Amino acid sequence: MKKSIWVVAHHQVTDIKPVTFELLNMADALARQIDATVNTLLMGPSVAALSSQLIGLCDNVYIFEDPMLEEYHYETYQQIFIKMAERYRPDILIVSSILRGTDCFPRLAAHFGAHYVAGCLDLSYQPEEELIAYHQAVYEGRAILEGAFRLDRMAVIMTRPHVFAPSMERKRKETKVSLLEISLSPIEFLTRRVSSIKNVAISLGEALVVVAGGRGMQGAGGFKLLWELARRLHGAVGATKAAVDAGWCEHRYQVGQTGSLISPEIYIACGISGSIHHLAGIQGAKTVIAINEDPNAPIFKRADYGIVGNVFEIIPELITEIDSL
Amino acid sequence: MRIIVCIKQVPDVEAEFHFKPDYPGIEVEKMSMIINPGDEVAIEGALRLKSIYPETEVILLSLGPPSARETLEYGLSLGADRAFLIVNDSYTFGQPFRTAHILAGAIRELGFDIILFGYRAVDDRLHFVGPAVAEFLELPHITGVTFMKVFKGINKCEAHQEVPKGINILECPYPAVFTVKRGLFAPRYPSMADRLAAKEKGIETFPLEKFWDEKTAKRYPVLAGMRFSIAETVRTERKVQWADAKKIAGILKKYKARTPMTESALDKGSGEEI
Repeated sequence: MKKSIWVVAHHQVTDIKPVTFELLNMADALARQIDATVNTLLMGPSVAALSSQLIGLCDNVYIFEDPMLEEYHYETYQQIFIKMAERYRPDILIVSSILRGTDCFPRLAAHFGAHYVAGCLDLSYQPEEELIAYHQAVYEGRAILEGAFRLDRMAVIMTRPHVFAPSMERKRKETKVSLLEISLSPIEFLTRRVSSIKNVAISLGEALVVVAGGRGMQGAGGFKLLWELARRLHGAVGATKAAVDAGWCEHRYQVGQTGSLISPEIYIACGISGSIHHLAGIQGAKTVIAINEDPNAPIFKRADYGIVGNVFEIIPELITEIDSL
Repeated sequence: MRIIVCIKQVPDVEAEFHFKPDYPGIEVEKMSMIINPGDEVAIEGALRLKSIYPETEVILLSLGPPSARETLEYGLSLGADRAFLIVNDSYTFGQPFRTAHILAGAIRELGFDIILFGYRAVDDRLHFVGPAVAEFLELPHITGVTFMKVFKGINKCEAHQEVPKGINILECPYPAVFTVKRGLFAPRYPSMADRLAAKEKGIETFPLEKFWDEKTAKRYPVLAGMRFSIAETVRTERKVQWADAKKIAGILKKYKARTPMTESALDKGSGEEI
């Protein structure tokens, strides 16, 4: 039987999120190597209309609508994916680690005893040994693991956003849209959301532009300046461990060294000297821009563009320039 | 109330890094070994609960080589009551099913009300073992917890879960599994006296065979191979092009937000789901 690769679509109200096109591109490349179908699972309280955005990008779109999906619950996801896997027997399930990947998919893999890959950077097929190979950043980004597994059971793969080029090329002549043939049983939720506090409009992992600060920002006040720059670029703010330890911003903003590993398109390092530990956190950043007073700061050896100068003068200047564009 | 905190001894990735291309990617004997930073936060979380419910027993559990005794002893010096080591031959990396299965077995043996893990290990970064143990023990789980409360009378926990855009406040009955992230729980440091007292407490052990055999191993997936390389950002220098604000603004042009996010988008507020 033909193998099948499943991708879980990410979406917001009226759009399929770009990360979905990354996952589909990744799935398509692998599907060609192992002769598999590419299937997209589109799930939410009301998502059917979004399926048109997936035509030509995969063989099948499966829609699953349920009011229970209004709110995220790992318990709902667990039931949907268990039933989906039992009904359709996917060989590979690819999801993005953003949103709630690390909350529900480890548990799903544990349930099935499935191959489990987290922080996946790429997937390829090695025909001579019939293995699926992947790369993953380990040791807080200091090293890269190349792992390989046999497709002897289902594989659950969580990928890091922005590492694979999104493709909108409609390579497939036909895409069949159908409803996912499963029915949910009522769930007595054990975990229940009481309330939420929203802190940022865009998350560090998801942002294409990350404006990060280090010791050179001199305090929480300095970070306000970074927010000013970030919000003009629809970006997120990041911080070095030193800045977090100094209490200038919360740990959630930390990049590298027990913080996040990120791969933005643009990384703007402000007042960051550029220790190896920090740089390990921006593996895969496409363009690195550094602003630092010290022309000998190690960050300039890892930057594509550099400005030597005082961050408190350069950043306001940069903001003025962007506003005048 | 009995809280079990699962901890792992990991290489200190911020100390000198001794790379090797073969499994496990580092020269373990040359690396300085520490408690996984997230697990230290989990211990702190347990101790905060103990400070509210003093009759609570905080038990540390680790699967690791004999050297992991040091890590358990460190945990005892912070204030944990007992520590158990499931003795493994060597440091392990990336064997999440084996680890989760063995820990679940030992946890069942010990008995529990609350089980805490660090949110992730800094070495293999899989985020797997906590939720997997919850699955094996058929318990609810909450991941990425930065703060929690226990309401003993009504058998309920409330947890602040950090998600990419903010915090969700969740509740669940216990027994339950939580993976803990650095947030409101800043780990404490032990005094010299605490260190000495920890040595007195001693480490109890479980033999690995009690929870793991070849037949069990067959149930779980294994990797066909692992190779390691040094990460590119660390390895490769880039050629910097000196610029001014005007030039940089030009590079950033395509990212310029049509409507900049408002201040309020950054503010705390709203009860909407995130």
